[in-house]
Amino acid sequence: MKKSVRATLLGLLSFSVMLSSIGCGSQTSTSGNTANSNASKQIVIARNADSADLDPVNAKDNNDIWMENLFAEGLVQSSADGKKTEPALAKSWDVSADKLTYTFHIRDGLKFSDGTPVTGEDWIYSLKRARDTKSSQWAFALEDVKDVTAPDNTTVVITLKDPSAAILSDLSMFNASVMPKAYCEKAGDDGISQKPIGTGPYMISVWKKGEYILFKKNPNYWQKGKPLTDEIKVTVVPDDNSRIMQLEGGQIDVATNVPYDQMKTIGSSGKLQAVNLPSTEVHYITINTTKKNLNNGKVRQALEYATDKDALVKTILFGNGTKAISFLSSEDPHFDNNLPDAHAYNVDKAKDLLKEAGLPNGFEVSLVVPAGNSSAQQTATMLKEQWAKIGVTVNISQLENAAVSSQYKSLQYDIQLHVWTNDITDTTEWVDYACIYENDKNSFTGWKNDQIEAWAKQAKIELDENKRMALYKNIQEAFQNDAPLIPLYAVPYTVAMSKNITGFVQTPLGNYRFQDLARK
Amino acid sequence: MGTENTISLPERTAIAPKIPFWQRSTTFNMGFVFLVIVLVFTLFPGLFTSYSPSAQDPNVILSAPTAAHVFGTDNFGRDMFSRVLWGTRIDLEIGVLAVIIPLVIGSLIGLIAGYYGKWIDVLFMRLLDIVMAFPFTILVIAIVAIIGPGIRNLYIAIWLVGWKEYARLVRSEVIVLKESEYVQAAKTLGYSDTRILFKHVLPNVMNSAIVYSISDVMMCMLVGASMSFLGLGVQPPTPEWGALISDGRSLISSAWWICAFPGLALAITGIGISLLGDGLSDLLRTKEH
Amino acid sequence: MNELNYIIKRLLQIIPVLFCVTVLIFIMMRLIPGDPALVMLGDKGSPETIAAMRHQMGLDQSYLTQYWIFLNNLLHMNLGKSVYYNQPVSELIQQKILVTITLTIVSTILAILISFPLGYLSGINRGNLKGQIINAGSLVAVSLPSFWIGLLFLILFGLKLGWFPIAGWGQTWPEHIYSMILPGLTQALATCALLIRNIQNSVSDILKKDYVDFAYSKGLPRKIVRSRYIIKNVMVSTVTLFSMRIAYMLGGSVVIETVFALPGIGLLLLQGILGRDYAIVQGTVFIFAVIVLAMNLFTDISYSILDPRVKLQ
Repeated sequence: MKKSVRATLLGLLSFSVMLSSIGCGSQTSTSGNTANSNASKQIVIARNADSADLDPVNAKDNNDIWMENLFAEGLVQSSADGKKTEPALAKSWDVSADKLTYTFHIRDGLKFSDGTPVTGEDWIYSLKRARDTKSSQWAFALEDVKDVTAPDNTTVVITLKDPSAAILSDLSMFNASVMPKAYCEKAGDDGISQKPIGTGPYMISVWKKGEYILFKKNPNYWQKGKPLTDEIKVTVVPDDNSRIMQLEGGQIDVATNVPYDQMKTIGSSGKLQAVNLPSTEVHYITINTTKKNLNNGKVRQALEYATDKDALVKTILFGNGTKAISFLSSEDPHFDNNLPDAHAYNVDKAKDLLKEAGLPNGFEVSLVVPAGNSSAQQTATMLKEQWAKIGVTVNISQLENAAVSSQYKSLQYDIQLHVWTNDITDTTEWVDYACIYENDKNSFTGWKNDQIEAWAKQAKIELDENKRMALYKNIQEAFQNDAPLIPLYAVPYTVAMSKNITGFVQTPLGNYRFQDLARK
Repeated sequence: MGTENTISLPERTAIAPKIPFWQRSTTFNMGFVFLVIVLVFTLFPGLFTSYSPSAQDPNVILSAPTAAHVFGTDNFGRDMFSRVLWGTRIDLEIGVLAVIIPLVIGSLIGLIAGYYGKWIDVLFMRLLDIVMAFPFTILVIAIVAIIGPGIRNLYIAIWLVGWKEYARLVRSEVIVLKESEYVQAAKTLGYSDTRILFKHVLPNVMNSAIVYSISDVMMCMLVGASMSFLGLGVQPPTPEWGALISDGRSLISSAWWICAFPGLALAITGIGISLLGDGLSDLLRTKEH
Repeated sequence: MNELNYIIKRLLQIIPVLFCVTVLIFIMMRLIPGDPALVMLGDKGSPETIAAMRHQMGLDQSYLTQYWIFLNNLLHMNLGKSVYYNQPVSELIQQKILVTITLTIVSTILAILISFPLGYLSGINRGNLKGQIINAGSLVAVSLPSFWIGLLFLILFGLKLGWFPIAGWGQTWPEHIYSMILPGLTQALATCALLIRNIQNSVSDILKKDYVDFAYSKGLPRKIVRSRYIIKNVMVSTVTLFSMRIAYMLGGSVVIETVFALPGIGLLLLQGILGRDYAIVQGTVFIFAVIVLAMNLFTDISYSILDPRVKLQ
């Protein structure tokens, strides 16, 4: 008898384990469908990491920013090609003669996705919150805004402290989106970060952290007949390989952040399409111009001459991307199309310049790379090989990201590798950072050029587009000559999707626009 | 991992078998041959390839295996044969270094805890319980999270955790041996504790720890490879096998050789080590009988 | 009632270990370079939130008080708030722990299903070709890294043959279990190899023993002899081996969950580490320890039920 008692106990034990796990599970498995079972209504997009904070004002990184336009919109938006600002919730606007007052005429009958109407109060609240939230990284964009008023529910008046060439572009940024005041005040920052509400084509239905976000069609969306797809499920698949295999296996419809080396294979597979969408992302070398040898402009030019950018594009980007000549992205509205490739790869020239600088035998330079950043490591490895040809020894070491960044900000490095992406359509953001010393020591190169700085400040307030363009041309040329940064290459957004997916729009600033996303 | 056979050797009086040792275990011999080959690669990689493991050749990017590059090349045009060969050194170093220190520390702890007993034993065994409460990999990952990624920190993490099995194995044998007439006799003869511990106890309790250490070498190599895979271990461009596989896996459909050969190398070394470990435990068992 | 006594005793034994585990985690978190409040908040805390966190963690008081606050929070399942997700870690773990536990259970079941017949087969075929093939197979299985095997399985069974979903965890229970088969198999392989060897040894040892001969001589059919004596004896050593392997398999879940995109606590831990989200690291490491202790308790109890001779020493 004893044996059977034991067997029963053992059985009970294992059974209770099973039961408890099923009990927990029933709470979690209540929503959503897979891509296959709901083919015509749901599109599944896989990316490598989850969002953190979807509050448009407090968005942290690209995983947040790219999603914002799915559910939130502002007065104006950047055009799909990222070069202009176009109407969004405001159908038109007037500018006063002194360029200090902008009056926006809002579309009639706008509603938030929760059904409440959009009021003037909501606009005042949202724009002021975007400007005044201290924890926001994006508050800078609206610092020129003096006041926001709303004479009625379809008119928003913005007054400025000074005339600003970039104000419309600033207002097109995600943080200037309108949100319902009553809801936001009730939910608080924490609540908004988890479930922001806006007027966008979609609304957040379920968000399981680290797993997926399920967006449902906003029934109150102002564009009739849009969006085309009922649900968009954005899943998190950290491993690049698994993400691509899921796409090949038909489990998902779109994979983002596709490794460059896979683009060609995917494109030629026949079942799938691999698309390079233009972005403003530029990779470059930051040089600490306060260090010995590196303070010499000739040495910096020599380093650029010794850099075979085409080889970098071929090896690291597998041809997906282009070599960069200007520090501005070619997607930037003020990029100079006629800028010559003044320091094109030329080892002999580089050697001559080093000789002129009194360093015929080269010198040593340390390059600190954030641990775990494989693209930076690949670039570093190649630079080491390339610069060895002119006698420059690159000592690569790896440090924690935080340590790398603190060395950068305290100018305690020789060279580092960095990436820039624009957040607004206008050029001011990047030029401010790179050319106006008081802001960030010229992207922490410690380099100074008064002429360039004067041009940069002038371009900020110059409202004549031709004059602005001329100023930015000058800046790019002079900057190239001084070479405090060595632009390496510009990369696109790599997206792979099934052949039958249409309307996948990502602006060069990164924003997803899924109004027309559909499966044929 | 061999921990289940806690063989206890009473004394060092095993009858020497008459057959010569190289005929006693085919398994051992096979493992031995495997490992000698691997060792030759480790010590003299330069003899087998003229390519440097880090030299990039933009003209032969992603070349399939050819006569010039027998294992093909990677996306930098680096010779994979040379990278796999030089990787042997790093992986074996991980395997050996990650095991020797815990073997010494763990055995000492087990020896002292088992021999002296009382509060020393209680202290060490509670410490053991705590370390045992964490999955090995999780604790290693957590330690690396605190002190940062990289090969040196990986060693530190494995050393801090890896001693537990050795301490457990040695302690359990010491406890048995302590009561034996042999040790009791040594005590009555007035030998010092140090002499008894190191001359009489230690040589008789190390067998299972040594057998375990061989399978541990392989486990540590796999943990090292997994850590590189997760981006927490050896950092590129160091040609560690796990890192090579990890780098190559996104290219698997267009360039299978980048992943395949390091994997093969890992498997062959692993099999060699397993054979050696099995053979050794066979040898020790025949010695015991 | 012996079993019940044993279970209670074993439960009481866990308490001091759990206590020490919390001390260890506390020390580890304090060893991270930098202000502990900043460590918990990441780079972007405002001066006010940092001050509030310092106060909350008791950083202006003695280490003992700080530990007491820490322990008190743990006991109330307050594991801190993830900086990245802006959500309590306990909630995140609650959402994800089921995945990791299911993975462990599925791998355990698969390991048993595979290794029992194979181990038995190689045990009775020791020395001949069949046995050698099984031995060689398990040798290879134990020597390959799991991420490599997982990759192969994904390509072969997921992509080429289309038998299983490629990564992810599905929505409903049947989907969950179905999507766990490949990861479970990957996880189980190394354990299988060890189990097979263990079973093989037990089987061939037992076959030599007198009582089996005695049973034969009593005229019992071969099959009954084998199943009754062998299986029961093998079970005991298998459970012991499992109690050691479960911690190892839980550790392996970090790799498996990464390869197969399973939203479990292993993946959460990795994300926490890569994102410097130490509240997540602290919480998941603690939960892993709790699971190991619980699983060990479970195997110990099963052990005492299977083999009544074994009692708490």
